[in-house]
Amino acid sequence: MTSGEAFDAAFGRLFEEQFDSLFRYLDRLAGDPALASDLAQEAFTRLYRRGSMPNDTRAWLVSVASNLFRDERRGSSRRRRLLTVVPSDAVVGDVALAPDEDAELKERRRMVRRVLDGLPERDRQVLLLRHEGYSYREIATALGLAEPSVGTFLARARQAFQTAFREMHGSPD
Amino acid sequence: MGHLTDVELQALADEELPELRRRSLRLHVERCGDCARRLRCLTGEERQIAESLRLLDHPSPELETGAIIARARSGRRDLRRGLMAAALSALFAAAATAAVIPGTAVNRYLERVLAGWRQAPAATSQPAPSASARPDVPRSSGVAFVPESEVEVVFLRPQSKGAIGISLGAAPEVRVTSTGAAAAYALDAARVTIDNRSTDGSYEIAIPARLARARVRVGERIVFEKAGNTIATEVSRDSRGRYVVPFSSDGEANP
Repeated sequence: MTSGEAFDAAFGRLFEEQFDSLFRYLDRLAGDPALASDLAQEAFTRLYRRGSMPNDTRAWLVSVASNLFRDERRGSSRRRRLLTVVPSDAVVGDVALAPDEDAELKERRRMVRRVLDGLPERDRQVLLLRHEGYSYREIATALGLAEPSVGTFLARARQAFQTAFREMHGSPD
Repeated sequence: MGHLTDVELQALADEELPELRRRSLRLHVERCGDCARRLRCLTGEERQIAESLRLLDHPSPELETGAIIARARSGRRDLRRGLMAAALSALFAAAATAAVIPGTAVNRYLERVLAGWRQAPAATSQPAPSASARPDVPRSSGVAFVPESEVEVVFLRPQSKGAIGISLGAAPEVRVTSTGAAAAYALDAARVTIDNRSTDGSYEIAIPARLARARVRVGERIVFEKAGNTIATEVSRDSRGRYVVPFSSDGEANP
């Protein structure tokens, strides 16, 4: 097997293992599945073009995707004004529900989105990455933070999330 | 030892402490009812946050690794393709110009190819041919090619009239056809550029559904975008499954 073939094979495995996770993180971060798909694909495309695996691949992908997201946010007002995402609002695990259950679920989703969007962006990123299974070291590398500060961001994000949720709804349940 | 801080509790719950430190804090929690209660509370909150976040999740797009690799390779070849693309574009522009001149071999060939397409019922959103159109200009012209994994269709300018009908299908090639428009087409590896500066016709674009990415742009305005299985556009599909985007839109100045 040539080095090119070995890289393609490693890239293929990584894509299978990590694409869904990166997409989920970006989808939760942006609240826009089309944009999340676009950014996740672009991050993997750039990894392939790089031609070699970085030391911490997961952190590298998140770092690139986060930069792309930031760039997108800077220039997205026009795009958002012009484009409407067409696909259904179906989310993972959606099943047919009674109308009142469905309305309650939608309301809960709206509430979670609002709480998440109310967090400072760095807190939100740290919280979402942790809930995607990233270690403190990976989070620090991906977001350019000192590793000891990750716990501080996390504790603050968790408290803010809980406080906001209680203020809006009493309890997440 | 005083009570644990929130950060220490968080790190303990996340199992992100060095072994010795973890043992020390764990020992404290076993002996301190207050910290044990706070740790249980934190663990419960983490679970609630995880459940809440799952409410937001959408299905992942179904993508093949090959599509990403093809896209990456396509970009890698951009520089090498630059000169070829320029030559191809010039050649194609010449061919496209020939295509709209009645009597030329290219025009006769295209007329035959497009005859079948013209038999389809006209889109209701398509306007009548521009009054300024010359009577000797053929009413249709077009281009078709097979892209690797992505395509961008670019119209050079907005129009005051006309519409773009976009459909996704199983055919492997991208097809762009015009009605009432003497447009010139330039083509490179993943882009069709339509010089519509002197026409106000309508267009039909057929895009292979297999493509990982497709985009239709009018000037700088993106009117249609496909990423994986996700479509972003300004309009809903019509009864024939097409996205019919008018050139003129609210908030967009037309010259």
